[in-house]
Amino acid sequence: MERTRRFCVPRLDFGVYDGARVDQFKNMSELLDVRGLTVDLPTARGWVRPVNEVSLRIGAGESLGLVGESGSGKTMMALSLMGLLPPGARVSGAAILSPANSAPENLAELNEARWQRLRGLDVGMIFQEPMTSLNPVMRVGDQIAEAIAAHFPDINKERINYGVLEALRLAAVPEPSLRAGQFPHQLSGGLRQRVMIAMAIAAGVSDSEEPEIPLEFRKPGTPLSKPRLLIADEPTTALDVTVQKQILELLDGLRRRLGLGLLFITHDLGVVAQVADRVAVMYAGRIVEQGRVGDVLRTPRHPYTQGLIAASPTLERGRLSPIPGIVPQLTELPPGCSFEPRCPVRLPECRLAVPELRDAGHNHVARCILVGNANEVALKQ
Amino acid sequence: MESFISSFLRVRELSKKYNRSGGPFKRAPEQEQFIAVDHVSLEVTQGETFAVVGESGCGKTTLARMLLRLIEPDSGQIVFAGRDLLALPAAELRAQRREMQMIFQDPFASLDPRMRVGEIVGEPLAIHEPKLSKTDRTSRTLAILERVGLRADALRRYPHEFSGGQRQRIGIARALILRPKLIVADEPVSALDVSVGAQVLLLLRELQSEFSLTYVFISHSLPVVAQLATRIAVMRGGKFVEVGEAEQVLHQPAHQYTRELLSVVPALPVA
Repeated sequence: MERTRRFCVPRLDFGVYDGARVDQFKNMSELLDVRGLTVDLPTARGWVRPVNEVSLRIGAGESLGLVGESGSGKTMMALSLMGLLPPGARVSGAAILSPANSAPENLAELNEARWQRLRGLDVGMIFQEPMTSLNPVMRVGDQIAEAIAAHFPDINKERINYGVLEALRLAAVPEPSLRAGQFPHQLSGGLRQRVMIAMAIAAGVSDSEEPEIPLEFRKPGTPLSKPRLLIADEPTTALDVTVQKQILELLDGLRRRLGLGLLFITHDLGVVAQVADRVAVMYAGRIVEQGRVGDVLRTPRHPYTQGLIAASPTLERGRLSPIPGIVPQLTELPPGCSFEPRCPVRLPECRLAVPELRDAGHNHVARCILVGNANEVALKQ
Repeated sequence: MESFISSFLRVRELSKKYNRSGGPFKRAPEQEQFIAVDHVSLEVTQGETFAVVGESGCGKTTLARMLLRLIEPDSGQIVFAGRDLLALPAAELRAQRREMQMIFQDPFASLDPRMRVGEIVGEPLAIHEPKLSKTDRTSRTLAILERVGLRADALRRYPHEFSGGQRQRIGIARALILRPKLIVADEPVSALDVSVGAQVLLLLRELQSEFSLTYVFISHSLPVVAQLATRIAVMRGGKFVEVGEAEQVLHQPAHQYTRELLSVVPALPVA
């Protein structure tokens, strides 16, 4: 616990967010550049497109929140970045991953052999339910060791053990050597998620250039040899709120210390406000709004984002206003804007064509024809 | 004693222990027992929403199910509408159950996948009012389905054809068709998306005044509870650590644990 605290940069208030954080990322190298990524999946009712022309960027040490409801395509987006799409899926577009010390790779074009080298080393993923992702009949230390040994078959047992304990320590697991010898059912939900996080970073930790120097003696903030991408798909949805807060703080600290790029997938805007620098809102396979988290949550420009905020329960009673209707089936998308049938401010021309992402200033974009319209504010009241 | 009889739902010293070890033929030693609900007392007045909030493992679901005797309490007393539920013989308990219904968390697991929605929603009527004609049963099923926002063609369809929010509406229709007085709702929106969860919360609020319902509302989420509750009980380790008016618990919490729960609620930045 103490270790996390020492390296954790305190949470910045939203008021000072812009200046303070932008400075920190001035020299940030680009880790992931997704351009027009499209995923097609075969289903019984024909092909569907859960990910449609998605473009986004994540820098080393940066955290991007991907927000969407079920059926928005956010999980398929994540799986495509892990090479874990269901069989038969077609991927087009580009997703360029640029780890600092090795050549960029286009994740959209990798074969399975390449994926096995990358997965777990340059890209890691943690899932919603840690119990179903862990092997129930294997000690957790052995499962983490597997993640290391898969990438470094030549290193000896001591080095692997060192990596296992280091990863558990980084994930702030108390008594790491004791926990490494336990089985998943002996751990609480929060600890299991910490073990999953340890597993996701274990290979990367073991790959550092000076593995003999324990991390605590390195200069704080020095990234490891390679920045890595960590994808977290609803990692706290199954956890209690008190535990959720600890896990969010852990992820936040890790990405700063290790220079991880974090793609944080969630349906909870409150969680996004806590962990993300920037946020992308997904609806029916497309990104409908993207920008800095303070801008998007304070002055949302897409009616869907506005609706999501109004539908999120707060501690105040009576403010709740749901979005009418349901998320459309991917097989029955409307011809124009996919939010048009549920939109409170729709215009006849919304049905004609899918709107482009329009510039709303300060790297803030929204896929709504009203953005830039002189009557935008009046219409969206 | 007089007030005890007249209150709508009154629970006294309700307890439930589970064995950590042992088995059906072996009694576990005292220290091996897990106390899920520890001498909980509560009183619910008619027409209010009494919310129980707590983290996983605090005993809130065990408590909810004991209120309907879906789980048998080890000890304690439940008085509903003037009748001691734990003393009722099976036949009378069944009759009493039509007054008290439950809405479950998981709209995927709580509906029989092989039954049509019309059968699922109409089943309580078939059980409690066997003399009702089939056309009457269908028309009442149809009326309640439409009231919760489903179309008439839902009658002949199967649960898998519906989204999570629609399935939760089916669960609500099934709970309401007998016109109960008390609804125990166990995490009714936590499996739903934000926009759909808000729809269901508002529907529950509307139905409460329309059908004069009393809710016992179980949730892990204080923001969700804040939308409906008139009073809130905060539960931890099988006990209530704080009970009070919703406004008071949410904005002037007395117990340290309540303050901690409130402090970790992820908040949106204010526009």
